[in-house]
Amino acid sequence: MIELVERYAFDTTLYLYALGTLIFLAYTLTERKRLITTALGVVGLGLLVHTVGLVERTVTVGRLPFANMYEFTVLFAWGVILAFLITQKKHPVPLLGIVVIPVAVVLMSAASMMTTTVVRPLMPALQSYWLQSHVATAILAYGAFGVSFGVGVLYLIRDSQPVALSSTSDGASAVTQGMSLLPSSETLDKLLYRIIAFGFVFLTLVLITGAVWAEQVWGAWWSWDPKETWALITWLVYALFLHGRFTRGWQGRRTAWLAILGFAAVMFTLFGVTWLMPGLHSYT
Amino acid sequence: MFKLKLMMTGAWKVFTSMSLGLALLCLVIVLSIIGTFYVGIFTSPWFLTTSALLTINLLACTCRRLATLLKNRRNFPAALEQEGKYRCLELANCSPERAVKEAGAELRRLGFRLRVQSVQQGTMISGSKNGWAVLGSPLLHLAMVFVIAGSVVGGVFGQEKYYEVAVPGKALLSHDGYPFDLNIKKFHVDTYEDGTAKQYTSHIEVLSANQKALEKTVSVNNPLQYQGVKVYQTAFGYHLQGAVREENRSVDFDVEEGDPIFLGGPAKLELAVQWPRYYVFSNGVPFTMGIAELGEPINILSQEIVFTKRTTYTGLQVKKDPGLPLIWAGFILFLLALPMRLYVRSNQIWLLLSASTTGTEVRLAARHRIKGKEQEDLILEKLSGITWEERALQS
Repeated sequence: MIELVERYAFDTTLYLYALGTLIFLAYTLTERKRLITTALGVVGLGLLVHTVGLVERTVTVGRLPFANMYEFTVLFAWGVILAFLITQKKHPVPLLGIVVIPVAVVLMSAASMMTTTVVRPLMPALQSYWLQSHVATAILAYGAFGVSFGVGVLYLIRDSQPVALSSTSDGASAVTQGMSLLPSSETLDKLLYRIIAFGFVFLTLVLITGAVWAEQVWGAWWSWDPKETWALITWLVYALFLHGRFTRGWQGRRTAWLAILGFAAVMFTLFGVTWLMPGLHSYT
Repeated sequence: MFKLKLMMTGAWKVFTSMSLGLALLCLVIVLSIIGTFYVGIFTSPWFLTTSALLTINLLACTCRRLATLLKNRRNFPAALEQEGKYRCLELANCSPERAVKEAGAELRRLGFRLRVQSVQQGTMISGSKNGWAVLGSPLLHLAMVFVIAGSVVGGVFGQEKYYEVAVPGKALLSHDGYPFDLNIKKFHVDTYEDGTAKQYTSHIEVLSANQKALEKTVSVNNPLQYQGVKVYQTAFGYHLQGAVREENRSVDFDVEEGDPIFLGGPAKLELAVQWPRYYVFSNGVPFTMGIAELGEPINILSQEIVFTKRTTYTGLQVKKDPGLPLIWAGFILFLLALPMRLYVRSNQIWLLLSASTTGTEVRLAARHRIKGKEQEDLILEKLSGITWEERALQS
């Protein structure tokens, strides 16, 4: 019975996110502002159902759903939507939904195809409080990077628009004025930095909690395990972004591409490494 | 000599440059990607040299940054001398003393810490807010150096070895240079209902010069720490002892359970045990299977196999890593300095007040990425207010 509730919650979440994407698409075609509110409402409801599903699973399994690929993929999608809604509240960029929500839809679909929905008990190495902090920080970091990917894509689109179309000075008000669907490139650029800075802090925490935990369980804080190495690569890519921005004044297309590249590294760390490179993190 | 010095300066500049740092960072990324396919790269000269260069560059960059910071603190701010970098205001009928007082009060109200100095041109007020935050970036890079240094110290002076100890039994760590030995009294595996391992635990006595110094249970995620050495529970398994007999020949074996025992012969037989089940393969194809029991011979073709003993062993990783304190210090520093760098903005403002023919000339410059202009505006507004007041009083 309780598994059935979780299943329903999962499916409903997926449909609500897909519906949200469609409404955002409808907004780009009709430019009717009421559609934004509707879409955000649908996605918000999706997040609520998503949370209910996760709580349900926690109750069923008797632990937080932090232990295998299926669980983490579902959490990742949750983090992306949460980060999107927070960003949307602080700096409304409605078109962000068109890029970011499909990321969550793809993640949820991928999760639905995973065969490891079966609940297996926690292996000894995972029985540590570090698991919680390690995974929780990863959700926040990856959620933020999912949104930064969306902002990066929007930047590139904005930047390639003809000048006549992008002649607005203030980004947020440009949307309400109906002059352009996208805020100015400067606004997007600033937003990109803020989201990546946030994600970077949490990715640093992911690496540190992972290292402290690995020291406790294996006696080696760093082992050049593929997952570790790719997490480090991701960290270095974003470090490059921040350095380029702070000291070299990198802005615009270059940083937007770096944000996209960074997210590609995130995805590869999660899926590529898990399926292509066996290692210490093989908790599929 | 001069030429050499020039060359050295040039080399130093390149070496400590941010561009080289970024290039090395890219190189580390590329090498790490290669490393996930070929792990050997991380111990190759390529990677080590690049990391070493990056570390030196990091340190040099940080030193240069710190030096510039200190210099900027001490010296007269260049922004007040370069045309276009500062803003100017003429306060008619206002003495420099009055302007200093008013400007100081306003800066204090905005939350600045003040320092008033007499300089050649008049009086300079420097105000700073969150001045300590400029240390964020240098500390962050120092944290990185700590972590790298920690791993080098661990690599050079650290020591580690894996022990498989039959239980009950002793692990003579002192033979390998550790300060104590271990006596494993008991070992047990807790399992879930489905038979998978939940936790495994060794009950250990630490023997210092053959005297019991400490007793502790070690399990996964719960290591033992004594005299700078840590003992981790990392594995467990079983050893099978027995013999293979054929006519008048007998060969003893002692293998890890799960490893194949080669019986040979024309059928190329191979025996694998998952206690108590055993499987026999011929040329890799299943041949026969059954249940084994200690002391009970199993007959396969012309051979007789007998298992005499099955012992549990506990797998313990023993490690001494003197680099760890540096690593932890690096991590803590990272966590303190990163938010400092990204979220606390240090803020500086300078006012130069000098007497002019009509009253006071004010030069104003600020350094703050976001709010600099805003604050300048506030000060200017306040100060021009004085002139308005004066004029009102006079008229």
